Amino acid sequence: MLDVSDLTVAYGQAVALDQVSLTVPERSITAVLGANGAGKTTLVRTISGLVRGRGGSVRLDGLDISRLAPERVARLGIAHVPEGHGVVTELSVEENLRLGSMASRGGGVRQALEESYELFPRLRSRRRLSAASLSGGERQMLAIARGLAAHPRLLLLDEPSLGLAGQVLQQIMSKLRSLVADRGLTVLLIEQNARSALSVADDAVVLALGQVVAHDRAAKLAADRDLLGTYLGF
Amino acid sequence: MHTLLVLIIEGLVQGAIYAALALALVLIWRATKVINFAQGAMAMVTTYVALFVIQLGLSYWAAFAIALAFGFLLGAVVERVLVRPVESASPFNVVILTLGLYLFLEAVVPMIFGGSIRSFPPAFAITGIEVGKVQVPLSGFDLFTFGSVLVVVLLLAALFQRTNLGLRMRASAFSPEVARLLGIRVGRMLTTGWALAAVLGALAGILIAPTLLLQPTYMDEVFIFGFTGAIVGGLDSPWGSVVGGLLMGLVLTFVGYVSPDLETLAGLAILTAILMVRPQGLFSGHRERRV
Repeated sequence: MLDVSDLTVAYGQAVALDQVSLTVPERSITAVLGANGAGKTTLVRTISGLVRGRGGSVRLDGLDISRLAPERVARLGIAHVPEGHGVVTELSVEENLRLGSMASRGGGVRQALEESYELFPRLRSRRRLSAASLSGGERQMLAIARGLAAHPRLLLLDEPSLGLAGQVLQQIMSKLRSLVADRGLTVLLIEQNARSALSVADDAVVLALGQVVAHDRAAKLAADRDLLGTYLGF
Repeated sequence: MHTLLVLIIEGLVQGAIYAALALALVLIWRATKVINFAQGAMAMVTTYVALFVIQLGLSYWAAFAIALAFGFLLGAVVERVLVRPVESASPFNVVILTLGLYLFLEAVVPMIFGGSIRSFPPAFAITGIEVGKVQVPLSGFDLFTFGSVLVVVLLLAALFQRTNLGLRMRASAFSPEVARLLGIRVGRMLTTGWALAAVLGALAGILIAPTLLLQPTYMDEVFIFGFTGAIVGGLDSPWGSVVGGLLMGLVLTFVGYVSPDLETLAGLAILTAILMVRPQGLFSGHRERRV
C-alpha cells in the first residue's frame, strides 16, 4: 500500500534519511524501530508531507505523494499522530476529536465521537475540558483517538508508548489489531519501545543513522538477538 | 448626575468602536502573531469607498454593505499578496510590511479621493431620542453604533465557537502544523482571519467617520486607542479586547470631559502603564508574551 523507495532527507548538511526503502502492506502493522536520532520521526514527517525529501519517492497505492502538502496527504486518508504534543491544548477534548472527524471520508461527526469514547472511556468524562488539563497519557489517547476519528486508511503513529502506562498501551495495541482485521486499517508504528512494537507488528524495519539495517517479519526480528543487541540495546 | 449618564453613554459608544478595532487586531494576532499596523488605514480606505458610493447617489445602507464587503476583500488580498510571501521569515518582516502598507495607503488615498476633510453622513439622527417629553442623551446613531458592533461581535463569536469553519480557524491559529495534518488548508484559514478582521475595521471606520470627519489620517488616533484596548485586554483574548475597547472609550470620554487636549495623552499613558505593569493584559490566559 505504501512504498517508500530510495528516500533521502537532509536538514542542511545533516543527512537524516539515506536512501531508505520500505513497503507497508495493506491491512498490516509495520513497526519502525531504532535508537534516538535514527531517523524514525523524519520518516513519518516526510510521508505526511511536513518534511520534503531530497530524493526518492513515497507512493500510496502507486500515487507519488512525496511532493504533496500535508493537508493534501491527510485528505488521501493518511492520518499522522505526531510525537508528543499532538493535541491542540487550547481546544476542548471534544473539539480535538471533531477536528479529526472533519478529515474523515465518510461517517458523521457523532459516530466518530462515539467510537472515540468507546475506545477511551476516560475521554468521554473529560470531553468538555480543555485538552491542556489532560495528563500526558490522556493526551496521547486523545491524539490517537483523533487520528482514528478521521477513519484513515493508513495510520502513522509516532511513539504512542510515550507517556502511556503499559496496560493502556496494550489495550490500544489490541484495539489497533482489531481495526486492522475489521476495518482494513494499515498502520505504520514508530517505536523506541521495540519489545512492545514487535509483539504487535506483522513486519518491522530497523533504522540506524538514517539507513535501513533490517526489514523482515516482526517475529523473525524479535528472535534475532544479535540485531536487537546491536541496534536496539537489548 | 445627568452629565455622568451622558459621559457613560458616550464612552460606551466610542468604546464599541475601539472594541471593534481591538478585536480586529486580536483576530490577526491570533492567526499570524503580528500586529497589523495598517488596520486603521485599511478602515480609512473602506470608508472612502463608502463615501464614494454615497456620492454616486446610492443609499447609506448600500455604502455600508459595500464598505464591509470591500473590507473583507481588502483583508484577504493583503494577507494573500503581501503577508503570505514574507510570513515564513521573522515576524518583524510582517510588522514592517504592515507599517509600509499604512504609509502607502495614507499616501495613495489623497491621490485618488483628494486630501481635503470631508463630512460623512450618519445612518440616523445624532440628536437625542425623546422619550415622552424628556430628551435622553442617546441618539439613534449611538444606538446603531453600539448595536451593530454588538451584533458583529456576537456573530463572530458564534462563527468561532459554533461552526466547523470557526473550529478550523482556531486550530489553524493555535497549532498550524497539527491543523495541516488534519487536512485543514491553514493558508485559507489565515486569509479568512485577515478578511474578517478587516470587516471589523471597516465597521469601526464607517461608524466613527461622522464624528471625526473623513481625511486620510482620521483613523490614526482610533487605531492607537483600539490597539491600547487590545493590549489592555491581552492580545490573545477576543473578549478581553472587547472589554478593553469599551474601557478605553469610557476612560477617554471622562478624560476628554476634563480637557479634550488630554485625550490622546491619556491613551498613550494607559498603553505605557499596561505594558509596564501587566504586559500580558488584564484578561490574557498566558503569563508572558513577546511583541
